[in-house]
Amino acid sequence: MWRRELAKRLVVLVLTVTVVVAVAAGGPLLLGDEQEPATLQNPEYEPDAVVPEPVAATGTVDANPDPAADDTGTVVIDRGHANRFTRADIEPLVDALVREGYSVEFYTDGNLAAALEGADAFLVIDPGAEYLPGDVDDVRQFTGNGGRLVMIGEPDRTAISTGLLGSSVQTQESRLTTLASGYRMSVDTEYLYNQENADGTFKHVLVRPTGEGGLDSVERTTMYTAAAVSARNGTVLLRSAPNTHKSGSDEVTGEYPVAVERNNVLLLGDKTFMRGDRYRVADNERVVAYMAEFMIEGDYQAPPGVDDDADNGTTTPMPVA
Amino acid sequence: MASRIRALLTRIARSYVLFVVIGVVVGLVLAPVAWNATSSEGTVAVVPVSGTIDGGTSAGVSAMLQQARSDSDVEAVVLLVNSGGGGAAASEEMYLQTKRTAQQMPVITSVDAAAASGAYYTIAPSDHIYAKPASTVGSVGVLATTPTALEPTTVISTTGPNKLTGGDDREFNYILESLGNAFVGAVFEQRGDRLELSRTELEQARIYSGTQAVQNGLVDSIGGRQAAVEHAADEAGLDNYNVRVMRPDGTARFLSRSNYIASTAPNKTMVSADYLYGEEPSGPVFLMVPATYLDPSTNGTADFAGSGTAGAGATTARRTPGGTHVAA
Repeated sequence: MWRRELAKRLVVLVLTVTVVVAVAAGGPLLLGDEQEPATLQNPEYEPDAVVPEPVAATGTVDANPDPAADDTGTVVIDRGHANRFTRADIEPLVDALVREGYSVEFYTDGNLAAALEGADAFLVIDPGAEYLPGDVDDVRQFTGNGGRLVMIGEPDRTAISTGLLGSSVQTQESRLTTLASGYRMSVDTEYLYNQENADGTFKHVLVRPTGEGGLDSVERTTMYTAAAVSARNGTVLLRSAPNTHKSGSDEVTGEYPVAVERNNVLLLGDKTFMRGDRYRVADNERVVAYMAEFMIEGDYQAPPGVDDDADNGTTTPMPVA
Repeated sequence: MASRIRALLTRIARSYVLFVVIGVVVGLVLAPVAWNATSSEGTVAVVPVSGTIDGGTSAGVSAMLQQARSDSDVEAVVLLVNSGGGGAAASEEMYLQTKRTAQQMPVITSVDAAAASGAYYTIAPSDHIYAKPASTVGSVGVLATTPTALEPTTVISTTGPNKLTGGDDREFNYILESLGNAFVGAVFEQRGDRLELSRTELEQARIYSGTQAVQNGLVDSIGGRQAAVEHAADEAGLDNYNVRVMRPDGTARFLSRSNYIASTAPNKTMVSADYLYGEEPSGPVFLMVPATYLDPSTNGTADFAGSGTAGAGATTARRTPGGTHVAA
């Protein structure tokens, strides 16, 4: 008898537990609709608004010099003023010159006038040492007699070098002041940046032709460490895209000249655009071709009385260090 | 004698007075509980965001915000921020959690020493941001260690040319830029109606003092924690409220001594920048911290690429805390 009574109570207990558990389990489901948070919408992360449009990297350097230019000649590249460039920096340009029948030599030290004797053009890239007055005179005499001069500067840059005593920070300057000022030209020390018109990031600025000079076929090019350049009475070939900033300045509307030409001298404010892995970006290859054409069309005529045998200057053939 | 004592006790026991006295004493003990139970209309939860933002910080803050959202008694949240940011993905997670919380209840922020970069990202969805004059906010941008250029198949063989580095440095900058765009876009989405800065000005990634930030709209007003709590209660319509200060587990790690000193976290420690990018970075580490937070003695050998960090002279590619630059 007592067992039967006990069983009844156990059944009641089990039923009670079941009801409680069922209510506990079902409650959230019944109430869930009210508490379910709305799905989080994130319009700020729409890919079309966030992902920048890449600048295409296609094209080949196709120099098309004036038919009147010589089919063969020599371009001398300065290596005598602590110039900072690598083989990758100049190879696309060298390739274009070689394909047009031109040879490339390096000036390393000695008599610069002798080294330039017989050359059509002289290329100076990012020198780490200023030109002494004698060298400036030699170059001016060279250009005064029909030779072409191409100078490529850079803004001041900071290099981090690591040695036995740890890392150190050094400023690198393009020391073109004495040479360029002789042609009433100069290179700024501040870098340019553009947060709206850039190849990926702000310091990779987009550059556009001005319509003057021989860069009509260019739509836009890119420069990766550009400095503004200037030339009194010169022709501006390329300007940075609108809304370019100069570092250290709050001015935001400047369209800074980055390539200027005056008579037979060309000055650019960036060496990185023609690098082996960058020269195809946008229309950079057209600018490289233009540089090759500009140099090829040089026609240096040695003045009477110059000793053709003067051989104090040292030019060395490739390769680049 | 004993009989007299027993009679007295019997008399007391039959008296109502004694029970009334006991009842009053017990009632007074329980009165505060009863008072609070009936007078409070809700709770303002104070959620600290302290130290360098990493996965642990993100998980801790997310859990506290989730708890606040699910607690029917919590009517508003105050974010108490003292951080210079940290990892990019963790900062984005914090942003999403704050945004979700702000959709359900008022979220008011009080900035302590700093809410920079990823920490500012975290608080951007707040309904109102208080800062003190000495607080620093801003640095809206991303920086990253750049992948080392390696030629595939020399040391390690790969099935594709970009398997080692993920892409060349141009492509890497596009990746970084997309993170920066998302950050800037989020800040504008949340505070575009209050910002006096243009998008490009914000992308400069400058740091501002609290008063400067009030001027340019990154912060709403000058004030401290109490102002934030009162504002939160007011936004929630609470005249009588409780304040519940939540505490995350673990230790708050600080890169900045200034933030460390200001912190009220019970467990806190200073860490070097190595904590974020390691001693020998082998791949990209995307960070949302001001470059000035990174230890000069250790980051001189690291290469950084920045997105939206041009303002203080800092630029692309390799960078040091002072904002110097080289190469692109």
